[in-house]
Amino acid sequence: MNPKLSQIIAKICLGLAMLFTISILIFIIIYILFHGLPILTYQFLSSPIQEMGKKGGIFPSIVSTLYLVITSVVVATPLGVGTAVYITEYTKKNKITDIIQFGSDCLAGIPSIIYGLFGFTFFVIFLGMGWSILSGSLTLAIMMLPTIIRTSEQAIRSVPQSYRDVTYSLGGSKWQGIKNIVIPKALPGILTGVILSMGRALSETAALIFTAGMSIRTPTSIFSSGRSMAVHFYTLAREGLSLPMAYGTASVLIISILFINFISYILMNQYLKKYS
Amino acid sequence: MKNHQEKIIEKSILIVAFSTVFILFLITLFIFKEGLPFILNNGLTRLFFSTNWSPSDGSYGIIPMLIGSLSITFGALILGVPLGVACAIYLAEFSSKTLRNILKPMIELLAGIPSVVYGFIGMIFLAPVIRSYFGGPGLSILTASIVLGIMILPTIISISLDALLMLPRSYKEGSMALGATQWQTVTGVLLPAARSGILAGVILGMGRAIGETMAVIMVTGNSVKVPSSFIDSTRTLTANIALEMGYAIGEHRQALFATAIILFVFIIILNILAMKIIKKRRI
Amino acid sequence: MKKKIAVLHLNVFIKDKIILKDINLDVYENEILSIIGPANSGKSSFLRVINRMLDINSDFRVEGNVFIDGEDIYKTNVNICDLRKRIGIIFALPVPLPLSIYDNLIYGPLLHKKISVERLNGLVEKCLKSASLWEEVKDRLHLSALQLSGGQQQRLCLARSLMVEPEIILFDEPCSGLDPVSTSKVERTMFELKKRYTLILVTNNTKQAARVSDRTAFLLSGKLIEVDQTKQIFTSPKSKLTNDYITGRFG
Repeated sequence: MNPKLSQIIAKICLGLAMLFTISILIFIIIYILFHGLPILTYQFLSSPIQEMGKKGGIFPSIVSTLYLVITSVVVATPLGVGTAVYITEYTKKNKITDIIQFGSDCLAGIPSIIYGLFGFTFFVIFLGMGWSILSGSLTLAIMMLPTIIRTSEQAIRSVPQSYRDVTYSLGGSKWQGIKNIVIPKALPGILTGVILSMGRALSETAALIFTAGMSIRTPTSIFSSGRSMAVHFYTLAREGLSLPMAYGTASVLIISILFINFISYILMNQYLKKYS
Repeated sequence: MKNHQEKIIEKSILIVAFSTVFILFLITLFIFKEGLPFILNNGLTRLFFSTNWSPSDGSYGIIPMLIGSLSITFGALILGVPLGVACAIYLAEFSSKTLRNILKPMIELLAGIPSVVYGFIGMIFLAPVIRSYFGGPGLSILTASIVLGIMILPTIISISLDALLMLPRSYKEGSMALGATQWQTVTGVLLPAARSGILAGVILGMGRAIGETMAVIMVTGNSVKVPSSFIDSTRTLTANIALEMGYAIGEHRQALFATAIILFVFIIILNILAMKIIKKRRI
Repeated sequence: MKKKIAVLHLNVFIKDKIILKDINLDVYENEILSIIGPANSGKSSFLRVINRMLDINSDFRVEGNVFIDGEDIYKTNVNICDLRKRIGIIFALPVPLPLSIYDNLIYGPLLHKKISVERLNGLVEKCLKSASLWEEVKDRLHLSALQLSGGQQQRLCLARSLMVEPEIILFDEPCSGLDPVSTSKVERTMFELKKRYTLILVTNNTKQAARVSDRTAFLLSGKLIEVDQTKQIFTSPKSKLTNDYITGRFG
């Protein structure tokens, strides 16, 4: 074929592929919001779940979700950032970093159903935490680790070495440099990772069914069982309990995800601007 | 004093850093602890040499689910790989920087949409379409393949895009200087040079497809039988675990954990493979 | 004059490659010693041996001795942080931290102990004056340090080093990124500083060495070729190599 012609055809096809992919995204968002937004009232957001979700609202699920997301972030962030600090600041590329990297990459690839089984046998049964927000959050925290480690590592590496040298030259220790300069400078990047992993916690279903349980009551502490919005949505949709309620819940989920991605996008952009 | 404190901090951070490895070890330990007795007592034959899964009769053949998982993963790759690689090429070579900066976050958003929402759209929108055009129950291998194919797009796009963007500029300039068109450069120089990175993306996408649970539960119909065609309903290994774990006891539960071991090992192998490929390219 | 630094039979290896070979050199209190030499002659590494910044990348080995005030700084029980506090360094490119001018300055002292605000403020004023920057920034101490010009940034870094009250200040090609006006300001400041501190200046610019230093050392491929009074070096060097270098015949 004529190279010029194939160039034009290829460009059109690739553009169409891109367009198709983006249309799917837009279609999903609009489809859910179109059906779900009319359901979203203050009543819906603030009422308890009634008749297994056929009536009432999703207030308990919102509370459960908040509990789960916050607890898991609180557990995962220090672990993830600490790991990233170790990889970047305390050791050079060697066997140890390879092993840690391997652990993190494997955790990233393990499917959530396996996490669910692990959380169930380990947290729920072996450690006796029962179906609870705590079991669910700890499981989620493990699932978040790889994202937090990877983004923090990138963020920390992008802090110029000369900033660290300044601390050394003034007689500061390694940790002082990390604490005072490196981490504050990498913070927007680290936050981006934390926020993105909150998205993962928000969307998770399979791992939570086996760890946080399905209680429809509002959790009162991290030791209560509770169903997150995603789990509630799954139950509504799959058991065909109430389609409008399902759409409503899905809308809340989608809006939260949009919000989270928007925030992380803004943070990342600011961060990039500062360093380029 | 300061030196002492510094040592303590370094030690604690080292311990934190090994948490990932420790957790991976714990996961392996606990999954194997629950599932290994079944494999040791029965060998793998009881799982692999039977097409009959009916726990009430003590039959634990996972062949139907294995076929379900593999066919859906295969179908997802057929859709996801060409589409994903095409998008990556478009983003790397044919879009302006501004456009790329708008499109990339949208791809990330696609990755952020909960799998239950994908499953829901597949169930409520796609399945009826498939039923009316192809017949069958609608909830089928084809439906699941399409849903999963879309779900693995972000993985394939982002890793392939990284592979393409990491190529030295000189590759492209060298080819263009010889009078090649952009497309000739892509097919002749860039894709071959980035093929290992793209392959790694495909492998990771495959891992994601095999491991996906909630979305496939919603779109496959979940019937335990060897599917006869791509519009037939089926059940995957992951769906089987999720659906039956809630009430499984004794040997049945062990069998489910044994299935989880198989999945786990398979996915770890896929990950190691992908990592090896990515690393080799970096050197 | 009192000996401040004594270097004896110093060999330095980085990744098994020898960087400095058998260096013997004394530095006296309140003098400016220039170290000149072509690129990769080991000048900057020499500075980093003295304040043990070389320790940061671990693939190095030091043989021989470096004494400061008679104490061997490579002895095992030396507190590196305290050592570096006594020795300030100014890098080739100014590295203001992305903080305000004021926060840049107080960063150093606060690494070591809590100090009252009044004392800090006093110290800030004193050090900025010593670095001849006070008049230019006294009304905008809380603006970002990144907004200063290159020359101002370099003098800010100098003031920041002074904040931890060092005894020795190392300059690693401090004017390589500066215009002639800023350069002369930095040089004038160095003259003032030498009354209270011991200064070592590494420079690519032989004219600068001739202008500011009391003594000059010439390094070539890790070897100390010659060290003498600056006047002597620039008028009648003993070594032909030195003569070739300062007359611009190589390097």
